[in-house]
Amino acid sequence: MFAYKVVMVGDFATGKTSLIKRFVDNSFSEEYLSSIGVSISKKVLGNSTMMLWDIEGRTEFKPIFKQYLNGAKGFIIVADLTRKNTIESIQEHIKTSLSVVSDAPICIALNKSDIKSDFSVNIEQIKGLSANIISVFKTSALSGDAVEDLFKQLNAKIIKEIAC
Amino acid sequence: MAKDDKTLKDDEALLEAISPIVNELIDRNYINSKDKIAAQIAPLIGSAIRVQIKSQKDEVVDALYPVMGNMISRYVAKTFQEMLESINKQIQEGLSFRVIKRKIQAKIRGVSETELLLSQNANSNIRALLLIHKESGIVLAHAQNPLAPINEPEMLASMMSAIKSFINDWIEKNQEHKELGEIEFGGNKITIEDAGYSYFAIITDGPLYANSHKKIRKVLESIVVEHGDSIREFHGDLSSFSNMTIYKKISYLLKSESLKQESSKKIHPFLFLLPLILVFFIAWSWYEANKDAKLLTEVKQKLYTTPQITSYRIDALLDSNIISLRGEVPSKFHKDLAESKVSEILGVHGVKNELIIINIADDPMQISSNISYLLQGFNLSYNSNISYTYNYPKVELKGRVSSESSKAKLLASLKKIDGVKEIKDEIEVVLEDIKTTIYFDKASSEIKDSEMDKLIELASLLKTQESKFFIAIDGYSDSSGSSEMNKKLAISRAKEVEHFLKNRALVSQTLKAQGRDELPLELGIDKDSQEARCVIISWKK
Ligand SMILES: Nc1nc2c(ncn2[C@@H]2O[C@H](COP(=O)(O)OP(=O)(O)OP(=O)(O)O)[C@@H](O)[C@H]2O)c(=O)[nH]1
Ligand SMILES: [Mg+2]
Repeated sequence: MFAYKVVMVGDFATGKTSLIKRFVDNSFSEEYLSSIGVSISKKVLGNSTMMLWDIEGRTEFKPIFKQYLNGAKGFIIVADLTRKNTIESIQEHIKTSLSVVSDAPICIALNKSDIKSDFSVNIEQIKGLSANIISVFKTSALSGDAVEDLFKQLNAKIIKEIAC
Repeated sequence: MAKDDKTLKDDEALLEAISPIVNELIDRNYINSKDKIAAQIAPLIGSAIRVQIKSQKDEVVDALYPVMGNMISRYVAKTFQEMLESINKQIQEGLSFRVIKRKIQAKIRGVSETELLLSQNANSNIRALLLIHKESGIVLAHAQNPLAPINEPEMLASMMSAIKSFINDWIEKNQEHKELGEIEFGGNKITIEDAGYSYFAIITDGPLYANSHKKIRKVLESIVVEHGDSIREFHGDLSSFSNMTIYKKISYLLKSESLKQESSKKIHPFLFLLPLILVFFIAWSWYEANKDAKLLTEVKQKLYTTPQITSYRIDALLDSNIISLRGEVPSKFHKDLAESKVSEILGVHGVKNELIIINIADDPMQISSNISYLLQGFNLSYNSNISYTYNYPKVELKGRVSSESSKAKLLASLKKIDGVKEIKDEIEVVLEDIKTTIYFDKASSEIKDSEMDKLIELASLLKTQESKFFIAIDGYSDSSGSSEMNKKLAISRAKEVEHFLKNRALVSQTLKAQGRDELPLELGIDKDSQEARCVIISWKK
């Protein structure tokens, strides 16, 4: 029996809440309701319980509230494939996350893969940003593409680390 | 490890030395200045341990908890004692039938009368106890009362840790040395008892008994002593906790609590004999001269000596030999029983049964505060101002929202509140007026800085609106120049605005941009004026 905390980190409106909704409720909404503070969801995977912390996205005016990252066993950093600056922010989010929990594994979700984007991203380069990154996924909360993989891979990695 | 051990021992020695001093300090100073106590304890302990520990605050608290807990409890006990005294005074001042009843009950149960009063007033009841890993908010162990369980303890624990870190951060910034001690919502109280790497959350209906608090602290103390290491090293593997004594200890707390309550209900009827005589005697000597009052006393006695309803507060009023019963009971069974018992009494000619049936989930105060809690959140996030009136069991809602879907969400969540049976809604759905006019320079379709502000304001308004609606973006031009040219201008102005809203402001509604020849007549804009070079944005009908 395992129980641990995972935090979703990223710029505003990248789809953090939507990814959780897809994974936990298998639902999606077009409507954008910007998260305030933090909300928590729970997902049971096999014999582990993942507590998912969905925090307010970073905006120009409001940095991430670091206290919410305390005690996390893993991070999911979310960027929006259609907004270049959210991808450029990934590096900073990695830095913030690792400054709180230095050995936590990270998965990167490049979200909204269902929308055609007018620029391309170099996945290898993103992967190279930190040794803590275990995988980079192109996800879509709308279609559900790669969402399960994203969370499950992180779960597998965390369990492996806890068990050792 | 060896180094840690040493650190620990040194601390223990220090504490042994300082704790009597601290205790005396508390006693002596309490009378003079309550506020200063915290200030006095802090530096004393602080200087004693500062030498070894700088940043490892949690470790220190863990090590010191067994001693600190006692010091703190001493302080709390003082405060509590004051409260008890004031209640005692109240008791002595008001002499009524209920007082005597309580005095007798207190004697039977062997608890202080005041404590009994507290328990009657607050109906205190532990619903659940959670032992929570401080850093991650993960529940290490928990136990709950099967009669009033809580939903999703894991979620509650995580949420509480989030609130704690938010508030503690705020406190730290404001340079006060306090930790969050309790949270209240609805009629529930969550008491937090901190111990270094973990903390206890005790969820009660109403405040915690003083003696339960003491017991809880004892249990936490022993958990910290025995399992402190595995708590500190917790990385997510619960198996090391599930088969440990922790659960037993916690559930023991809960059990002793509920046992205590149950046993109080199951007093053998024989035990009432003594108080009965006493009550009778006192009542008789008080009211001998007054026949009505005598009948009333008899009624009250009857209510009191019927074991199933002894513990509920039932008032009886007498008017020309008709008895009215008022108060709250948990079921129809109790209501009927009270009526039949009272009507058996000689001299009672009729019973007006006005008892209200209230089960725990149906406590109107509780329901009302749940509704208020929900609405506050809703109003905040939808920027609406829905108000409610609650007339048991009916909720009436008034106000405006800007979309059907948010209204539906509100109604759906209201229905989830236990005990809400009937909702009457007078909520109006009113689309916000979004009409905005953007002006352009001659022969230009570039959005001017002065107009940009209007568009940004519009965009943020649109974000609060539902995305299923359509928005018309109509471009216009003035009459100078060729009509070919003007048509182009009108369309490219509209497109420009559309581009901004869609790609930069990320508006979610569907946009329909088009160029138009004729300005709407009702605006009364002269086709030659500069106001004619514009784009008008509105809901598409
Ligand atoms: N097409 C598409 N839209 C998405 C996808 N994921 C999210 N969205 C939309 O993007 C918007 C923002 O999504 P959220 O999940 O609320 O974003 P967030 O990161 O939680 O935002 P904050 O809470 O403000 O930080 C919403 O309108 C979603 O419907 C996706 O995979 N594809
Ligand atoms: Mg969100």
